[in-house]
Amino acid sequence: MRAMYAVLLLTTLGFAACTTNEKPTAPFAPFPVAPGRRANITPADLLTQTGFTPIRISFGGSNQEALLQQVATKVKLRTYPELVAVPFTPVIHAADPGVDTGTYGKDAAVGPAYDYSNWVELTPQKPLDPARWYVMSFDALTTSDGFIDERTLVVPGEPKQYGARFCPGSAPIINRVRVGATGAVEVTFSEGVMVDPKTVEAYLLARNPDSSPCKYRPPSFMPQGPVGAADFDCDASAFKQSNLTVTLTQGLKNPDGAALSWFDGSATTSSALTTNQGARVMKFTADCGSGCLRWTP
Amino acid sequence: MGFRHWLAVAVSAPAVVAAFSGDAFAFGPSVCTPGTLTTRIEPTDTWNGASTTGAHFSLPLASGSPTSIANNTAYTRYLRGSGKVSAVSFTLDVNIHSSDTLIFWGPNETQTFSGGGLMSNVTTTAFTRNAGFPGWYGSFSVNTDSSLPSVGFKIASLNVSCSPEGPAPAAFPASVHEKNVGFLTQTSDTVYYSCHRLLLVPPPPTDPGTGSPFHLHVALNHNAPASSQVNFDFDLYARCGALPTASAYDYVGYSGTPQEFLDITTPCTSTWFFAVNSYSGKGVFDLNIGEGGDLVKCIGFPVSAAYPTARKQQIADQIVADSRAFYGATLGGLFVNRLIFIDGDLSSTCVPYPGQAARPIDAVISDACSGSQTAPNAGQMTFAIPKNPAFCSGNQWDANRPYVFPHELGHNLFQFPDEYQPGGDVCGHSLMGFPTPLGAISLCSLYNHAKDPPGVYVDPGTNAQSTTPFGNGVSMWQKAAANYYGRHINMTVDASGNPRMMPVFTADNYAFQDFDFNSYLVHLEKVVQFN
Repeated sequence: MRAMYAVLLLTTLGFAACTTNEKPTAPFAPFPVAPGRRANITPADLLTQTGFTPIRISFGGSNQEALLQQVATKVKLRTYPELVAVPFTPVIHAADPGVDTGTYGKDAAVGPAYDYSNWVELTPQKPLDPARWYVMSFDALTTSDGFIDERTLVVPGEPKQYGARFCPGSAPIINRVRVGATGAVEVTFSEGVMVDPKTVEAYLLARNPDSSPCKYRPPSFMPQGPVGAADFDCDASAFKQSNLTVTLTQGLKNPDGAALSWFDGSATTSSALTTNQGARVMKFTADCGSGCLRWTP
Repeated sequence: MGFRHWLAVAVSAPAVVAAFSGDAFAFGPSVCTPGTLTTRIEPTDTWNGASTTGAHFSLPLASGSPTSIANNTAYTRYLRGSGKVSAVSFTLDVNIHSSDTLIFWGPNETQTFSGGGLMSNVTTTAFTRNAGFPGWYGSFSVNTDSSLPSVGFKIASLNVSCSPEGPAPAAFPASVHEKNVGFLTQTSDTVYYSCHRLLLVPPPPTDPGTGSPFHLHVALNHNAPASSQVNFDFDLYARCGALPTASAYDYVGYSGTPQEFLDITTPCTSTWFFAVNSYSGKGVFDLNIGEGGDLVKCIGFPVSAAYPTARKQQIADQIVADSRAFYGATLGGLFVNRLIFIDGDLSSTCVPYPGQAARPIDAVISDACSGSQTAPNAGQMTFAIPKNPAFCSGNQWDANRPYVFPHELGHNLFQFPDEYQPGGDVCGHSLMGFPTPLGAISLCSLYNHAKDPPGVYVDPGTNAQSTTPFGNGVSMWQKAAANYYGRHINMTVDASGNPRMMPVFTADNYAFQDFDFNSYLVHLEKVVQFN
């Protein structure tokens, strides 16, 4: 009952969407592997509908005030992909190791976890436009700094700039595809996306032009409504090949009914996947030109 | 993978659009309705309807006085409210002694109560919101000596004031393995939390059906008397990398109650954000975040005429339900996420997930009429079903002895000692005590054991005698924490081995047990492979 009401409501309201008129200008560099300092960025890269999520780069450890001061001079907030500066005020929050804030517990006998309780927050001087993409980024401080993982962007053309792209408003995109050795394909979205299990289709192109259909696997719980990811089971034997393509032909759409798009705004929904001889996917590139994504775990 | 489900707080949609242009899906700005929120944070007076007074002294072996300072309520509890809450005062009933102190902190004020006996219906200072924070926050703690007969104190209500001004929605840092207490003042109110913590474990497999080594489990409970539970419905959202909105989330629990449970199996290399949203009503909630690995147990049944399939199914259901007790007793530290029931003995093997290699079975149901388990310290275990003596000649099991499975799991996973005696339980409330429906479902800390009276204690397993309780000097929490990782549990304890919050004999733990955790059961995979 709730779900039906909500869908009706939102299809009536409509909403603005982020758009990007230009494709990013260069392939993204590999993400650094970090023995050194680690950073945590919010919003994470390639999320939409981020709303009031704090724009923040966080570090773990104690006595990090000097680091934060340094980072505060190097952070940037810009539109994306135009890279036009957006005025903001950096606010530093340094964890006080002498005070138990109750956040994590200074004397906690916890496991190999990592806490990010020091941060620089970027407070825009004017509200962000929910219909625009932005990129928050900062310079690596040293060559050994490892600014983390698959959700952190290496800014195209600026290899020492790490950051994240985000859109405050709603603009669902496919932001990542992963494949598994057994033929599982996971497509993740930047926000909730409607999947029609009756009509969604995906095809695996193992040896172009041969293709085989993949089977949509609904979520274990609450299969109706928007999902953050869509899973497919494809022909596992084909995954020993390279240069695979999965084509999503129909059944995915934005909650408002519009077609789903890639980050660059094009209408294509196909992706070329490269596997590592049957191992889980190590990389993929999409066949939508330079604007598509590559992910390295 | 994460899953998302469409849900909007329909009644707030127009306000949402106005609050954030272009973002029709956000929960909206902070909202606040002044008034009183009934709570049962830390009541002292009842435990499943029975008085707790003297519970520490129930052993007939007891003589003399407590051996040392108990200090059994030394902890701090944090409260959070949303941005338009301008001030909060507390009304409390507390019975603290001369050397006890009860301290409330707000962003700008502190108020301390010194002990001196029963204080009823006391109202604290109004603690005001600090404009620099994403909402109202405050905390309170109590320190006691050994004289209190039970743990806890009671905050009867929160008295909330509101102001039209307030910050944009933002997240409070959440504690892990400590309860995050918050309150929602009206329908559509939302409190956000963030969790920067990452488990530095290998990424989970992306293939289906292989289990994830990463589990972040998040439980939302109400914290209010039963009389206040009607007609309110809180929902829980989680999103990696950004604040959840009504349609942008990775996980959601939105049953028609204030209880929700999420089993998050996708590591978030950014930050987890959580939103507790009132679909309807107001009230106080507990949000508990735990983390751990994949815990799968394969349990075998003897092939016997005494175990027809229907009865095995019945016992399996009971074991599944009982596993919630371990989750509650460990404050969410241990989450059994998959139980596989097969026909087999200790020589049998079990496949944890399809496609994985078989491994030795974990536990076998004993066919004995009495006795409990063997091989307590890791490895395989055998345990008796909770049976009525009449079962030996009949077909009943003893409904008054639940929690056998989590009790034996305590031995098996953490080398916990037994904490029961002929006359009662050491520390009075231990999961390792004699399991009954009315108690024995928490863990005992050093503070608790300091209340154990001197006497002669008998190990129920070996009949060995000791002048100190077998649990004395040993914090079950510390033992759990020491084994936390390889054994799939991650506990937060202080340097003395005590949990950083004390669930025992308080409504917090009562709440853990009393609430059915139906959502937990939804996420606990029960796999039956009887022949």
